Amino acid sequence: MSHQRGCSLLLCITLVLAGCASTPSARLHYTIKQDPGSRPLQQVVLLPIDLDVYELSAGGVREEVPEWSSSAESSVRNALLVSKGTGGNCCVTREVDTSSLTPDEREALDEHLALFNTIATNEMWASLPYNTAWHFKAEHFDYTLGDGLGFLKDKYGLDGGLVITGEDVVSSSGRKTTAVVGAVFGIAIPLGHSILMGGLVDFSTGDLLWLNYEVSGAGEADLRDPASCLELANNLMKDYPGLLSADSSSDRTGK
Amino acid sequence: MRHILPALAIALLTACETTPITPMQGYEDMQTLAPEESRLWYSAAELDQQLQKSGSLYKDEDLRAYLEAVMHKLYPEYDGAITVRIVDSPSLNAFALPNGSIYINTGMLSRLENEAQVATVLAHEGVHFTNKHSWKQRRNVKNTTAFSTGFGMVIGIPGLGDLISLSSIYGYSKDLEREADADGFRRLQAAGYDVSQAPVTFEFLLAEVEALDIDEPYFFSTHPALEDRINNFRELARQQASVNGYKGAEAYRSHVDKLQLELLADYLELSQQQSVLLILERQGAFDRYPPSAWYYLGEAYRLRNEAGDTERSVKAYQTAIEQSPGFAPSYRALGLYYMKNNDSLQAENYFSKYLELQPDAQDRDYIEYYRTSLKSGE
Amino acid sequence: MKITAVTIVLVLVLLSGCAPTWVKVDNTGRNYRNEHYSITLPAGWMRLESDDGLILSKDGILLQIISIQFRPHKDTFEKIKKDSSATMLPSELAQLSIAELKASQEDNLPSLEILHNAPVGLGGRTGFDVHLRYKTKAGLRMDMEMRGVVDNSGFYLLKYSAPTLHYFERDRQTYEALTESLQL
Repeated sequence: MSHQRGCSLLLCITLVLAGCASTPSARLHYTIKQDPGSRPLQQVVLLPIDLDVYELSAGGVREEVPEWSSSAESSVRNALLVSKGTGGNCCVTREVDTSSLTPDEREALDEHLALFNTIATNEMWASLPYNTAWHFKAEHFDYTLGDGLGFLKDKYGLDGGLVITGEDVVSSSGRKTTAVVGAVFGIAIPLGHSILMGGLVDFSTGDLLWLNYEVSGAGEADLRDPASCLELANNLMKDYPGLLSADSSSDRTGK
Repeated sequence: MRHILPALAIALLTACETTPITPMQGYEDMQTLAPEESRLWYSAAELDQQLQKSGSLYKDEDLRAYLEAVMHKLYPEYDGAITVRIVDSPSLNAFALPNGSIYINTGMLSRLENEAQVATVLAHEGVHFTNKHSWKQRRNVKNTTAFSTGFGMVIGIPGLGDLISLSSIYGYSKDLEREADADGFRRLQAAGYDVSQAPVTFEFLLAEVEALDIDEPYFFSTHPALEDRINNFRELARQQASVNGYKGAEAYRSHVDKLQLELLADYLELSQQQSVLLILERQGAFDRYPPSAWYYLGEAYRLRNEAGDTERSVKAYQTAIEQSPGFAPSYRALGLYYMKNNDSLQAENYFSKYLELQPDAQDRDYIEYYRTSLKSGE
Repeated sequence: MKITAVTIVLVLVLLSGCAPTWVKVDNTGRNYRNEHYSITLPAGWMRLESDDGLILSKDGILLQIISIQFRPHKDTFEKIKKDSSATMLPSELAQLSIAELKASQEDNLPSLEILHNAPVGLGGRTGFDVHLRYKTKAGLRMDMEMRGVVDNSGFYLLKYSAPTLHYFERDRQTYEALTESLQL
C-alpha cells in the first residue's frame, strides 16, 4: 500500500532536509477549536495502518523489507491500542477488520485513504514556510473526505477512524560507511528518517478533525524497534483530541 | 587523502552483497528464495497489484491465455508459473519482473506478424526472469557508491516503478542482453519455432524506431549495438536454420485482429499518426487488416497534413466506404471534409448517413451542431 | 512512493527560496484582464499568475485547481507537436486537447474515461466542453473538465480538476460561472 501515501512523506522529508524549523504542529478542525465539546465521537476505530520500512543501500537504492514493514505495523498498532492503559495518549481500542468489508466497501475505504493522503499532502504544501498566503488553511482547518465513509458508521456503529501512515528508511551498514567517507569530503549523505502521520476522520461528515506528523532524522527512531514505535506513536498522539466521550471497551475488532 | 582511499576501498568491499546469483532450473527453484531476492519478489508483487488496479492492463483473456500457452511451450519446466499479462499501451515495450510476471504492450503485439515473432520476445524476457537479471542489475546499482547529495538523492532513489525501469527503460547491461538473446534463441529452437523470424522481429522494430525517431523508452532502446544484435541473430539463424520451424501466422492473427484496429484508434487518439502510417503503408498491410482500416489511414493523412495529404485522406475514406459500407466513421470524416470545403450538400449527406449508421455516436452533439451551422449558413 | 510533478516543482521552489506569489481574490479584484481576454474570478479563491497563465484554488492545488491558459497557434500542443488554427473545429480541438493530456502522462492515462464531450458557447464563440475521469496510481479518482475555444490570436483553455470524491462537484458551478464570464 506504499503507493497510497502520495507525496506527503516526501514533503516531510523535504522540510527536515531543508532544515526548516520544526514540522508543523498538530491541526484541529476549526469547530473543535471554537468549541471543544462540539464533536463528540463515541466509537473510534483504527483504520488499516500503512507503514513501509526500507533499507537504504550504499548506492542510495532503497528497498522495502516486508518483514520489517509488517513488524513495524504490528508495533505501532500495539502502541496505539494499548497506550491508554499504560499512560499513553491514545484512546483507540478497536481496529477495523477489513476482511469483514465487502469488495465495494474495501475499495471505497482504500479510495478515501488515498484522499486522506492527498489532503495531508495539501496541508503540508499549504504550511510550507514560503507559502504564507496559504497559512490561513492551518488557522481555519476545515478539510473533509466527504460522507463516503458513512457506511462504516451505519454498518458497524463507528463514529470515526484513526488513520496512521508512515515510513522508515534505515541505512545499511554500507550506507553508513559511505556517509562517513562522504563527510571526510564534505559531502552530506542522507541516512534515512522515520515518519509517522496520523489523522482522525468523523465518519458522518468526513471532516478531518485532527492531523499530525512526527518526523525523526536518522538514528533518532527506528520502526523496527517496538520501544521506538511506542515512543513515536506517543509523540504523534500527544495532541490527539481523544474520545470526547471515552469508550473503554476492550473489543479490538470492528466486526 | 592517500591513506583514506584504501580505507574507502575496504569499506566498499565489505559493504557489497556477495550471495551468488545462480539461474533457476525450473518451477521448484521459484519456491525457495534468498532474503535479498524475496524483497525483489515482494516489490514485484506490489507492482503487479498496482498495474491491475490502475486500469493499465488490456482485458482479453483469450489473448492472454494464448500468450501464456506460447510461454509454456518455451519454458515447460516452469509448469505455467511464468505469467504473461498485456499492458494497454501503444508503445513498443515488454518487460519481465523478478517474480516471473512478464508484461508485453499492445503496441508491441500489434506490430508482430506471427507466433514465432512473439515467441522471440517472450523467450528473451523469460531469460531475464530465469537468469535473475533484475537481481543482478539491482545489486550492481546498490553496490555502486554514488556521491549524490541532499535532495537529488532522495528523488533519485528507485522505487517500485524502477523495477520496470531496470528491465525496459534503461535495459540491462549489454552482457545480460546478449545472454537473453542467446538463451532465448535456444528456447525458440527447442520449442520448434521458425528461428528465421528472430532477426525479423528486431529488424522491423528497428525500422520503426528509426522512422518514428522515438525518444521514449522501448524494448531495445538502450542498445546502440542493436544492429549488431540483429546481425548476431541472423548468424545464429543461419547456423541453426530450423527445418519446418513453426511460424504460426494464422493462429497469431486470429488472436490479435481486434487489438490491431484498437491500436490504430489509440495511435490516432494520441495524434501519433506516423505510427499508423508506418503500419498501414507497409506492403501487404491490408492483407492483415480489415477494410475499415482505410478510414484510419485517411485519418493519419489528415493529421499529418503534408502536401497532398488531403487528397490522400479523401481517397482513403472513399475506399473505406466502398469496401466497408457499414463502417460509420468514414462518413463522418467525409462530412467534415466537405463542410470545411463549403460543400454543404455533400456534408449534410455524409453527416446524415453517419448518424443513421451510428445513432448513439458519442460525438452526436458536435455533428448536430455542424449540421445546424450548415443549414444556417454559418 | 509516487512522486508527482507538482511535488517536485513545489520542492524545487522551496529549495530555491523563490516562492510563487498567491493572492486572495477579493470583491474588488474579481475582474481580471490581459491583452487576450477578460474574465471574472471567484471571490475568496486564491490566485497565482505565471507565464503559463492563471491558476486558481480554494483549498489547495491538490484538492481543486482551475487553470486559464492562452497559447498562440504555433506549437500549441507541445507534447503531440501540433498547432491549432483559427478555423479548427471544436471537435478537433477537443480531440487534440485530450491527446495532449494523455501524452503529458508517462503512462498515457490508461484509465481515462470520457464522460461528456460536446460543443459549448465560450467567449462568444463555439468551443468544446470535455468532462473526463481517471485514476491516479494511488487509486484516487480524479475528475477534470476542459473548455476550450480558438480565435485569430490563439487557443484558450480553461481546466478544472479535483478528486471525484466530494470535491469536484462541490466547486463545479464556480468553474462554469468562470467560463461563462470569459470574453475574448
